[in-house]
Amino acid sequence: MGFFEILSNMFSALADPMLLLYLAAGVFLGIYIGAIPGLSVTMAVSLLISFTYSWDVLPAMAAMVGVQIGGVYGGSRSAILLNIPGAPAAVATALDGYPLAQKGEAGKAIGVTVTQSVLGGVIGALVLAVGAPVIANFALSFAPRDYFLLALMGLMLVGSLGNESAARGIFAAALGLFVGFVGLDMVTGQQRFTFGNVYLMGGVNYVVVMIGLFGMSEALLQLRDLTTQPVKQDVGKIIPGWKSVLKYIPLSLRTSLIGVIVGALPGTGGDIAALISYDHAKRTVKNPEVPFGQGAIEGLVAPESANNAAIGGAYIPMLTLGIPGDAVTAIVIGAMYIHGLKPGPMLMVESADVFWFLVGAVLFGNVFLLIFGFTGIKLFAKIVEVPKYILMPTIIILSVVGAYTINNSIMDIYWMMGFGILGYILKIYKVPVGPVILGVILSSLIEQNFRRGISTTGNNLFRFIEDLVSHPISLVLLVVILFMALSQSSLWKKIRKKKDVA
Amino acid sequence: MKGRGYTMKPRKLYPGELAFIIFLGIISILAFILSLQMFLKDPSLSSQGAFPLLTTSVMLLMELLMLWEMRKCERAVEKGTSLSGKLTEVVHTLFPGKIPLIMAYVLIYAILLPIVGFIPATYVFLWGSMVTLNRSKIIQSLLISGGVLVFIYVIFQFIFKVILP
Repeated sequence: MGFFEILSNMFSALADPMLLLYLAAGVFLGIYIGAIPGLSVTMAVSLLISFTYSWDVLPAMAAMVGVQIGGVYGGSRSAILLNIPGAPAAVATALDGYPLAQKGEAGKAIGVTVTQSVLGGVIGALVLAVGAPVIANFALSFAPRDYFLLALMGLMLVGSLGNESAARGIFAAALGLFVGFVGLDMVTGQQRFTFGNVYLMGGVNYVVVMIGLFGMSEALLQLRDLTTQPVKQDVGKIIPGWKSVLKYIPLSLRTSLIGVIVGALPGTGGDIAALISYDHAKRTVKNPEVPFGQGAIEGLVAPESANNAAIGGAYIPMLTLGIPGDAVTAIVIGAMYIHGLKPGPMLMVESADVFWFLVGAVLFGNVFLLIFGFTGIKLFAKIVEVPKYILMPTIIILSVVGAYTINNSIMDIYWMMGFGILGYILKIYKVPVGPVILGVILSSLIEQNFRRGISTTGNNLFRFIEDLVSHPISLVLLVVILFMALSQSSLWKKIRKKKDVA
Repeated sequence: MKGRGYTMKPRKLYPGELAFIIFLGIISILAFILSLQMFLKDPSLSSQGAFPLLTTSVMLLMELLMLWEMRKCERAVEKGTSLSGKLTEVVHTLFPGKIPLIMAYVLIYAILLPIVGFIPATYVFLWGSMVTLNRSKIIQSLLISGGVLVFIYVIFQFIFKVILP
C-alpha cells in the first residue's frame, strides 16, 4: 500500500467532524486526568467503557484514544511542577523536570514535554500505519527469556537513578523487587511473604507504592522547611523554537523507536519505555548543557517522546493480533468486543475502516495534543505558587484518594501511607527511592519470564544460557546488557580516560 | 547484578543513618531466611522461592557493601554521647518542626476514615494540618479546607464517578 493511500485512508476515517470533536474532548480531558496524581489513564479509559456503552463504536473509540494520548502526556505536568509523577510513565520525567521547576523554568519544561510527546506520538502512529504487521510478528517472536532480558535492561537504569552509591541504588532496586513478590504466586498460586494475612494476598499494587514514595513522601519532605518561598515560574515563553526541537531530533527519533518497540511488546507499556529511554539518553548524550538529574532537557526529551510513541506501539499487536500491548489497550480490546468487533488478524480485512480509523485517531489525537498541551499552563504553574500550608495537606489527601481508587480498598491507603513514611526516611538518609519503584514495576515481568524461560530448558541453567546466546533476539539483548554493565564499571572508565589522554 | 560504577565518598553521616542502614540489614536477613525456607521446599530454578532467594542475597550483599562504604564516614554524633542524647539528635533529624504533628494527623486520619467516613475525616484533617502549619489563619483555613474538600469531592465523585473511601 502506498504512502498516500495510507494517508487518505486515515483522513477519510476521520472525515466526520463529530468524531474529531470526541477525539479532541478526550485529549483535553486526558491531560487533566493524567496530571492529577490519583487518577490514572487506565482507570479513565475503563470508566469510559461504561460511559460509552450505548454509543456507536467510532465515537467511543475516539474518546478512548483521546483520553489515552492526553493522559500519557498529562502525567508529566505534576512530575515537573510537584515532583509527583501523575502516572508511572512520568517517573523518569520528574528526574529532570522538577529541577527545572525549582529554577523557575517549569514553563520551558512543559513546552519541551508537549512538543516531544507530540513528536513521539506521531512517530508511533506512523509506524503503526506502515509497519504494523511486520512489527507485530517481530514482537511475537520475543520468547520469555527475551522479556527477562528486557526487564534486566530496565533494571540497569539503577545506575542512572542512584545517587552517591551504587550499593545503595542496587539495594533499593532489590527491595522493590522483593515488595513485588508479596502476594499469591502467579504460577503456583501459593502465598509468598503474606504470613497468612488475607490483606497481603493480593500483593501490593505498584501504583500505590508510587503514590506513597513520590506523592506523600514528597509532601512530608517539603513540610520540613516551611520558610522557603515557592519559586516564581516564568511562563512567558513556553513554545520552544524550531531550532531547539531540531537540535534534539536525533535523540527524539531514537527514543521514539524504543518507545514503539517496547510499547508493541505485550505486557510492557509506556512506563518501561520511558525508563529505558531515559537511561539510553543518559548513556548516549555526551555533553548535555545541564547535567542529567539537574534539569537536562535531554532528560525530558527521551521519556516523553518514548511514552507517547509507546501508544502507537501498543496498538500494533492489538490491531493485528488481538493481543493487548499494555493495560489500556487491554481495556480498549474489551470495548471493541462489546461493540461487536474482533480485534485480530482479520480486523484489517473485515473492518478495515475501524483499523484505519484507530490509526488516524492516534495520529490526529497528537495534533490536538499539540493544541491543548499549551493550554492551562499558567493555571498549573499557579499550583506551585500555592502556599505550602494549603498545598501539602491537599497532596496528602489526593494521595489517599488516589491509592483508594485503584482497588477501592482501605488497605491500599495504609500501604500508601507506609511507603510514604518509608520514602521520607529513605530520602533523608540518601537512599534513592527511584530504584525501589523501578524494582516494583519490573518485579513480575523479570521473575515470571525467568521462570518460564528456565522451565522450558528443564531447569538447566547451562541450557538457559545456551538459549540466550543461540537465539538472535536474545543474543542482541544480551550484548546490549553486557555493554551497559561494562560501561558503568570502573574498568571501562579507566580505559576511556586513557584513550582521552592519548 | 551490574558493574560497580561508583562508590560513596566519605562524608559526615546523618544522625540515625547508621542505625537505619542496620535496620534495613535486619529486614534483609529476615527476608533471606524466609526465601531460603521457601526455596528449600522446592529447590529448583523455576520454583517460587528461587528468585526471592536471589533478590534477598543481593540485598544482603549490598547491605554489607553499604556498611563497608560507611566505615570511613565521620560519625554524626560524637563518641561518648549518652543514649538519650543520641536519640534526641535522631528525632530532630527525622522529625523536625511540625512533621511529627502532621504524621500523627495522618495516622489519626487513617484510623478515623473507616469509622466516620471520608467527608468529616478529610475536613478535620485538612483544617487541623492547615492550622498547625499556619497558626495565623484559623478562620481562613476553615474556608480553604472546605473549598479543597468540595473540589476533590466534585472532581472524583461527580465528574469521574470514583467511589471515595
